[in-house]
Amino acid sequence: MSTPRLGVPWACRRLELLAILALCVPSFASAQAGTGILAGRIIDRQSQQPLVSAQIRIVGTQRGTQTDQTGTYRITGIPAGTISVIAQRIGYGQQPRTAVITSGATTTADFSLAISATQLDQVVVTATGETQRKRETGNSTATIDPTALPLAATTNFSDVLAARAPGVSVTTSGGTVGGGSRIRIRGSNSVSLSNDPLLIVDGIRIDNSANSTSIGVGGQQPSRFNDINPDEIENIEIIKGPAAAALYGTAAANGVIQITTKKGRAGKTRWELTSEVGGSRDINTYPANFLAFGKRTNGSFTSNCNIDLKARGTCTVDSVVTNSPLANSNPLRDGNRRLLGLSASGGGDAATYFLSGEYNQEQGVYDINHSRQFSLRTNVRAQLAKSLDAAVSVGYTSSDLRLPQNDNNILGALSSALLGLAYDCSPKNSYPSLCGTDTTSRGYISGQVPNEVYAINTRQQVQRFIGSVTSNYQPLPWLIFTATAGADVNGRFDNETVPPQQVFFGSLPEGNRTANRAVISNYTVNLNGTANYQATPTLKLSSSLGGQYTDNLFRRTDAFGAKLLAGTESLNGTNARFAVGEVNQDVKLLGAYGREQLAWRDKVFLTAAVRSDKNSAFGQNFKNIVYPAFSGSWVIGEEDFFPKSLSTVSLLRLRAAYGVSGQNPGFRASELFFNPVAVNVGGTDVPGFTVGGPGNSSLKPARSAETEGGFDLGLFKDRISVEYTAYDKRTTDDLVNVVLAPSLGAGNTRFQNLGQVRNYGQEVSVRANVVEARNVKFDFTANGSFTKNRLDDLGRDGQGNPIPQIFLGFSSTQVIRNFLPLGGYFVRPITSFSDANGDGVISRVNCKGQPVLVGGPACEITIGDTAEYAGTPFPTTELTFTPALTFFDKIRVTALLDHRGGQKLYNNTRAFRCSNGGFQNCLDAADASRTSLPDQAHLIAALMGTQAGYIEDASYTKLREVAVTLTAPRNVASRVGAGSASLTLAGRNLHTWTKYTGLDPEVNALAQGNFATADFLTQPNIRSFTARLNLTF
Amino acid sequence: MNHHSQNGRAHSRGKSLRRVLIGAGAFALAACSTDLLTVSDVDIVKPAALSGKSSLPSVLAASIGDFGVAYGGANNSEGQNEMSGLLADEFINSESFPTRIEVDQRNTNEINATTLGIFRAIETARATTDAGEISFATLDPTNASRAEVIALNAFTYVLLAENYCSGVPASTINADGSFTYGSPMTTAQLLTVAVAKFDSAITIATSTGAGTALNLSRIGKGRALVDQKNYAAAATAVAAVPSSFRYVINHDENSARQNNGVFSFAQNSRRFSIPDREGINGLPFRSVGLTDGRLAVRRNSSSGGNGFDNFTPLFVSAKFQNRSAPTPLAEGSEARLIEAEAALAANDDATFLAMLNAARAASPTYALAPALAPTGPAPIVAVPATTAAKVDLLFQERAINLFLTSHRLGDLRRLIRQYGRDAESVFPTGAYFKGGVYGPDVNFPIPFEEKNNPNFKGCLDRKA
Repeated sequence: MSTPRLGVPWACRRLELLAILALCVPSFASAQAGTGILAGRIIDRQSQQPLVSAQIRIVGTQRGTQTDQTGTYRITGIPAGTISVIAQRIGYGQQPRTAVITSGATTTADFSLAISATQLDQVVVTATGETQRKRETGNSTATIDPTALPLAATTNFSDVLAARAPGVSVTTSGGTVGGGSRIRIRGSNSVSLSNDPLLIVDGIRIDNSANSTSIGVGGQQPSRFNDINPDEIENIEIIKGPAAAALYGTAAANGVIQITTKKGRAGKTRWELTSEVGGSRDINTYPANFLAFGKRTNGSFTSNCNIDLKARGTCTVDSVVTNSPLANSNPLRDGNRRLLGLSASGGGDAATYFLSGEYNQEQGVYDINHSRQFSLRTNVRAQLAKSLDAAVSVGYTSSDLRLPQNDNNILGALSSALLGLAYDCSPKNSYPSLCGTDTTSRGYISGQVPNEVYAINTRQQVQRFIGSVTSNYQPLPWLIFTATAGADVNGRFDNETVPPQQVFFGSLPEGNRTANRAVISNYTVNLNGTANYQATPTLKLSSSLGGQYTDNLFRRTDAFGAKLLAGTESLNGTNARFAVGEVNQDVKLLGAYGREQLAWRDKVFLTAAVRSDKNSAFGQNFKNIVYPAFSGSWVIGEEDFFPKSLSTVSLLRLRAAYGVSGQNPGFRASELFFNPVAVNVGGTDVPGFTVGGPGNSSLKPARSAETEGGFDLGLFKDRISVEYTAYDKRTTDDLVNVVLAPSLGAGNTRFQNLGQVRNYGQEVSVRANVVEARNVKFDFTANGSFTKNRLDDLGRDGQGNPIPQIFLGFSSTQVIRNFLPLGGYFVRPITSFSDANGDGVISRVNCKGQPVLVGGPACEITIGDTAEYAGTPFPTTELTFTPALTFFDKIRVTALLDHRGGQKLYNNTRAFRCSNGGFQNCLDAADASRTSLPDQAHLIAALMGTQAGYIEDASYTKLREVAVTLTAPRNVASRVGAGSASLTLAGRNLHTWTKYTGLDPEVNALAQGNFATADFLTQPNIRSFTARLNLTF
Repeated sequence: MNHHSQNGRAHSRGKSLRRVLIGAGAFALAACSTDLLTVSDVDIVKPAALSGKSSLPSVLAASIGDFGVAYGGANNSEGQNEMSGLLADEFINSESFPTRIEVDQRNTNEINATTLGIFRAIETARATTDAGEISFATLDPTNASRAEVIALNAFTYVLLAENYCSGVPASTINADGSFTYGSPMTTAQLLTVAVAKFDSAITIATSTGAGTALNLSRIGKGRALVDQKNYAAAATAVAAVPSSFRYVINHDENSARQNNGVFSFAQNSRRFSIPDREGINGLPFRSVGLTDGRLAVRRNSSSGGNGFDNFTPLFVSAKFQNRSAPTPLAEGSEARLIEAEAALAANDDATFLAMLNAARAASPTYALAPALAPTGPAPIVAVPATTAAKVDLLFQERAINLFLTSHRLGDLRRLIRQYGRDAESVFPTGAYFKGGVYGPDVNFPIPFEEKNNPNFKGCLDRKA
């Protein structure tokens, strides 16, 4: 890294690129001369009902549109002549036809589509910015159409992704409004780098940061994924791995989530009004606190004669007391959700537009947990000339989120209650000797009830702009250029106010204010040129060349002050311990690629591609990396030789793909540096420095190579489709943040290209139209994914010694270790236990290394001497079942059943309550007569030094969603002046089947962390019901 | 006309195409350039900026700063001072974190994250002061601050020897970014290195007229020699140190990193409480401190007077009453105590008593209650009759005078190593007040992460 040459500011560099882009925009005159219009209607062949959001596109161009609520479409500015068009919609087979466009006239082309479970001719957007049919690609790409989902059952973008596509794992981290989800596609590639997928909106990379805040509240943190408004999305494509993502370049190794926002449709303005109301409720039964009161051997009172102490003969139990702070002073309330949105779309011959605005607010189950989000979108597409179009996409989001203290935070409502006292220190309490002067805590361990602690006001305000311009220029019928430039600029304001004399913990009574302002910017410029060449009547070649430039800037200024003047909520009111800081980071990428595709008889497709990247984060000793990709697709079922006797097989495609992608190291990872600090020397503060990072000038990207293969099968005239994919993804040169020997005194870690990680598995998706009667339809989608993750090698140091395992997670219960899944639980096992003396208590007395009790029972529990693998925190099996039942095309009932299996979860809530020396307030500890022997063993084993008993099977099946959509007949809708009307009633998180003994197997107190996973005093997911009304005019 | 128009469009189209191709070419050329990838990094300091003589004040500050964090702790990281006191009998745990409970319980696991943090910090201080000494020697060998940096460097070896198991490595990051891994040093070797460094600091301080560094080094050398059981030489080393001498690590409210660690963790975060006779053998710090101004112990007034766990009574010392309270590193009173120990070894009761009382007189005292003036202890009138009682008296005086200055753990180990006592008669033992029993630790293990050093396989021994 160095300062820019000749002092030219970085902005000028960006201008250079924009100038280059400007060269791409030709002068044009008589833009609309010699053009005509194509219009028509697309309907369901069987029901004869109009199809909404059906696509129609002109073959060989980037031109196309979608149908509106009445099933009609209109494409303007088409050069006169004969064109080929294709109509299609998810769930229907495509229908091609030709049309003759006459200058100055409107040509009508209606389509009648038949239901089809296969998606072979569905169009996807490629890395080059062009569209392609799925049959042309050799890899599996999942498509999610939010317009076909019951969005009423979702609250954010993560919910839209969850359980929709095989291989895409979305795990919420709790029931806090505004908390993010951990998103993984085909496992985790890297030991130390982010494993989050790349996020692209309308062709540009945008910030996808997990745990995106600078102020912690103990656990839950927002994710930038959820800045995306699902109502603005037309289509989501998920490119699952390097086999398909090679051309997306560095940062795409974890897969790509590609979002296309809604576009306008030519025709008269169509208004859509969306209104939603709903409620949510915490349905959990929280455990009370217990303590066994008793006497020590000397006769003195003890408030904690737990089963261990009793078994050791140190005390006898007089009584077991219980108290539930949450019942005494319940901070939980019913939440609610409201949403109001309005959009307009339409356009004429020259341009189409989509405008939308939406406001939604959500109140969580704590008073202080709420979010408000306002989003605006303007998408305009203009046909500037016969051969030139441009689309402008502008989105703006403003949000305000308030988060509660919780999880690993003594001030949290659940934390303070579940670790609290087994007696209520109210004025009427019976334990004055224990409560002392405390008459207000009601048993909360923080000493205050939550509603007082919740004076802490932790917020995040976001002002986010995502804008892009995409232009297609087709100077010759066989040549098309696509340019996209855009920016994602996110102004994030993390702030917290602790008012004085309200929260009595540490220095909080004096009050303080934190104000951290960040601007996170991502700039993207893409250029692509594609030439198509019909080499022979059966052979078509397609050649693409292109490049990409991205700049990811992070700028943050932090400020803090203490001793806050009551009544103020600004730094202006602070008077002591002022602290300021800055974070300035910048990672730039420059890439170029080429791609060649061969299409033979529209049945066999071979593609070869290569991309080369440079990146500012690479070490100075590394220049660039090359990512190759190959894929093949053969629609063998359309071959003449394919046996016609297999009448049940209506479609068969074989496909295979191989590709490489990478991940770049983080900013400054290659640099040796020191951090500036203040030091008091002789009574005066002077500038000093301390060790920053040791750097590694040889850093290069981690490299993930993936091979996948599979088939697409259509059965019974495409009423059933099966997609099967097997993949094997191997990451080499993984950037491991190697823990440094502390004796170096040179920082904690250093990135090195060392690791080898393997993810392999299978995915299957079955869609079936089971019943297609005129008035009743029943279809379902079933997805399954089976994922294995393994660290093949953590690598070796310069002298050839293996890099030692890396511990992580609460109580170091997880490990990064050769031949185990990344982040696998790794603890000493409980090898045996039994109630040998039949007293109903598992005792550790007289066990090896444990308390000796002469005359006491023989050892009743043994634990292993060395740690063993105890399971992965990530699901290895994910199955989803989404049935849909439709009556009279007016009533549609859908459900989402979601099973995740094979994962474990560290129930640190129970472990901490039962075994931590400071608490031991769970029933297991207090009363052996009401605790099973295995549960006693888990507790006693924890006291002996292993958490093995609390690493629990966290497999679950959830009834994630149920929704009923009622579509009003047109005459009913018209009574309120609407063209159409629908009402959706939806429920979310309706039931969970699990063996997990905690409250919810789908939580993580460590939010969206790479691997660290535990349930620790975390707010479980909440149940919600929503009603959503859609009206179009 | 039509023909002409078509030609015109074709011409226009060709022109546009050329522009596109030029654009694509320009982009390709740009891709070959590295200018577009140039980034600046303004938040940090690179080694080149610290290579001149003008950087030496910052080098001194870096040395003091890193040593201060490692020794006295900070707002967000414990130091040797707090954690060695927790392992010994100066503190008991009054919170819920398992990593610190197991230290208090003398049963520290080598993957304990808290002890990893304090080991990193002391090794960082060692490395920073090592590098600081090289900077001074290279850029300005006669600089008066050079001896101070060397003395602080030597103190890191003393702390590593007193608080850790035998077998501590000292590794180095080289100028080119490569690593030179150190081999494990025994406790005796660490002390030998420390004495040599103190000698070097004394020589340089004498020649440069750095009086403060000179006395700092003398006390440090005396402390290391006592650790080596060389009492007479230790007394000689500290003889010239005035009783009024005081070298402290200054803390400050200015930044969290500069806050006093004992205040931050004991009083503010309520993690550690001053006990009375922890685990049978502990000294009655709480009781003595209620009347002795050297300790000035009182029940914390906030949060019901309990620790973070809401049940352990929280007692704090006025010695560390706010974020800016300094942490003493070397004081004249310690010099007198070293002389007293030498007198004890020489059976010189008169000098023994005189030095103990000189130490009492020299020790700073603090107010027993906010409204009261600091109260010092009365002089000791008579020396106990038995040697064992004299040893007890000496170590109690050391414990009180040097309270929470990372001496106590080393002293308990010396009682075992040099005075023949059993570990279970000097360290807290028996039933642990939060459940379970005390473990066998008499020092900190070297963290598991040190196994990233190919020369390190584990502690050479865990003996006192």
